[in-house]
Amino acid sequence: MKNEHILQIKNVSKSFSGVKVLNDIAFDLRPGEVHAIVGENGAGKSTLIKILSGAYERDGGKIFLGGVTFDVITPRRAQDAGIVTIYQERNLVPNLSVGENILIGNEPKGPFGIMKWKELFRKAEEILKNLHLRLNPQAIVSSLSSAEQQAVEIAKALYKKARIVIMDEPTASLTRAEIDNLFSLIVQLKKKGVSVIYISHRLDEIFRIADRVSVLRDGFKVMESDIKDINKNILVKAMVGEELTLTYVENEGITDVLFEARGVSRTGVFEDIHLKLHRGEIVGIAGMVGSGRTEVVRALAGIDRIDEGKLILNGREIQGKSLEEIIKMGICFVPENRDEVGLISAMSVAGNTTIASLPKISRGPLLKLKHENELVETFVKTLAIQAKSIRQEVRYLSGGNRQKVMVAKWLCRGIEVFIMDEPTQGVDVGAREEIHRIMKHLTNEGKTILMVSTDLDELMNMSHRVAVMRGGRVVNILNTPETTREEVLSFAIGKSVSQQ
Amino acid sequence: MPSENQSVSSKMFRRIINVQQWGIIIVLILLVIILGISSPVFLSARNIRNILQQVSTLGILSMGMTILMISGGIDLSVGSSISVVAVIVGKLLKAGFPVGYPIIIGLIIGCAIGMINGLLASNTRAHPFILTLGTMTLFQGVAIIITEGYPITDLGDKFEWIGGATIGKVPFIVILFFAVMFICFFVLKYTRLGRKGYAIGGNEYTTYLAGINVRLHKIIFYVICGFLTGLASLVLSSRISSAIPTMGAGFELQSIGAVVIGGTPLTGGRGSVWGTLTGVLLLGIIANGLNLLHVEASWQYVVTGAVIIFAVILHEHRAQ
Repeated sequence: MKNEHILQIKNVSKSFSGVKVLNDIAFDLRPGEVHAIVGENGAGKSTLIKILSGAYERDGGKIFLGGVTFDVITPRRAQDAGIVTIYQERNLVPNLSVGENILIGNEPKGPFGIMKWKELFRKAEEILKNLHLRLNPQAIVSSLSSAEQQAVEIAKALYKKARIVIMDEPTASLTRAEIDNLFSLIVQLKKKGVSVIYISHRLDEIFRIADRVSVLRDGFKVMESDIKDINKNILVKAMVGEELTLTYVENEGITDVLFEARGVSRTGVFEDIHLKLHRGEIVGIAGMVGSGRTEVVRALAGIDRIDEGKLILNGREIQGKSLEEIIKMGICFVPENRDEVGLISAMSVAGNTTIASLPKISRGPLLKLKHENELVETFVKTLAIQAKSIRQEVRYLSGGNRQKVMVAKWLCRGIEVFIMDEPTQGVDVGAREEIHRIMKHLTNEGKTILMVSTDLDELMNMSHRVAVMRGGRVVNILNTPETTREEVLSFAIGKSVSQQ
Repeated sequence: MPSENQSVSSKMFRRIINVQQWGIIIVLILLVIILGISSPVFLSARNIRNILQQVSTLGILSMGMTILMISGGIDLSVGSSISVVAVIVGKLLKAGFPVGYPIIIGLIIGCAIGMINGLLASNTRAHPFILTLGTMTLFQGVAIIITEGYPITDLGDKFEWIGGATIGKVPFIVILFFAVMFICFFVLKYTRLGRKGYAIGGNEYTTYLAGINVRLHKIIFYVICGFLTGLASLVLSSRISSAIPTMGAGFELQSIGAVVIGGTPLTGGRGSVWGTLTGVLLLGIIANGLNLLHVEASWQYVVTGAVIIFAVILHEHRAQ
């Protein structure tokens, strides 16, 4: 029985400072199998992986590797035992070549430790070919795209005789075509008998690639099933523990222009951007990584400079004004990276909510804390932010709730134009729905949203219009009801998808 | 089931946090009990007054450092700034200016020094630790140049009043220290300025994106620290009635130590004046107690160092 599984986990538990984040988790992995783990943020997925990769120590339970107990796990021992984890952040030496990275630590050397370059690149090429990867082993890693670097990591794992590859949100920053490549790579791994633990909150992917799926919720394993026996609804239900209602409020009457970009350029980055945002409208920006989408929205929000063109809000020009003035006029930027730039994690929910609106909660230089509390309470209620109290530090909140605090900050300021970069990246299904609901709610109140997203579904479902960017230009603006994902994608990559 | 489990464990979690926050206070109380038992003089009113008087300089200095460090800054030059302010004030007093002028000029110089540090910290990408390491050395040189290395003694009765006066039975400088502390507490908790300090220390870029003039506020926090450094310098030179060109040396590390013992991390974003008060008292009581027990001065360094390390580990543990 035991030998049938390459990995078996029994009753593994883990607590942090008395809070139990994993309760008696059982999990197993067969050779050549893709076993997905899904769950909302905070369900315990990352903790489980970190235990397997040796980053955390478990409190209790047993782990069997190939039928043998595997006790003290350190990152080094996990790797030696053939467990390789591929994180969202790349784990390569950026200034070395692909070949050196793959063979790192085992480079073929001649007398006096002189590197045998030819042999190194030949070996690397062999490994890459074996995985059907068309990468130049001599290319410097930092010149590769994120997706290509990921492929190099997988090649490296295979070279190191990995038996188990753990992938943590591997598709988070990949385009559709890149995801396809990744999946064929995973198929290659399976053929070689390597097992994959696949963590993702993109359910479509789970159904495409996984053989089995385990669902974690609040530190408990609530479901395990062969993928063929279930559907998306069952999975979502298991993840959130309740049924989601997916009804959006429909939008009516979009008329006057609130914000307009006229021929905005920044030399060498983007060129001649024209965009009109109407009241109550959501405009999406689509484009591949490197198309200039983030650069454009940051410039439109007044954070980065523009060299040419005009930005007009409510008939007034805003370019050249300070960020403080631009915010006062009603434009805000909700950045992509919540934890690094979006929130002050050591500050409370209240502190974060009012940080952009201090004049509103003060008389002269003095804060009116009572007034602040009342104000924040109303936002916590309207946005259904789940926190123990408004004085709780935001770093203890879940991803979705943190995102809501970010929105609350700008609602509190009385902002009209929300410029959002990846509003739902890294949040779980439930929170995503809620953020979308909040976005719709904002537009119903006559506010305008400009949103960058890598997620085509999000763009298609949420936006009234999608501006497609390529090479620093807006190549087309499409009305969503009349367009298709394929059309958006074909403009974004600059060729017809069907030809591929 | 899971929710029940969680609420029980989260209560436990809170209790642990509390215990750790009280850690330094418990150490302080234990220390007082031990010293009270081993030295009959320790808990006498006179000795307590003595301790408070001794920590006032460090206390005033550390309050400024607290505000600065909460906002993510740090100032290693406060020690030499004390010396610079003291020798300039000393020169002016010796030149016969009425006592009010040197005092005001001393405070202005403190602010100016803070401004220099603030301008450097907010306009360059270098870490303030290194920048103020530079100004620390620089100001030390300035203090020695001004005095040509000689101490200035006998600053006059009027100036000595600051360090010697008592109101009721309480020394004036102790009252000054507590007044400074309450004002700093008020600024941090109840003013926009204080809130911005926590925000900038917590995440500078986010605060900038929220439309706050981060650069200006950083300078303000350095100026506040500089002003209180000037005040601390006046208190110190008045108490010893002299201005010595190296009199401030070592104060920078003591005050950063007090702030860190009090739970304000080097990275900023959190912290309080109450924490710093416990840090200041702890350092003061250790020095006083070891003196009473006739422990050699060299061992006082060892004990103080150990306490700082212990406190940092305790806070580190809590942060995780």
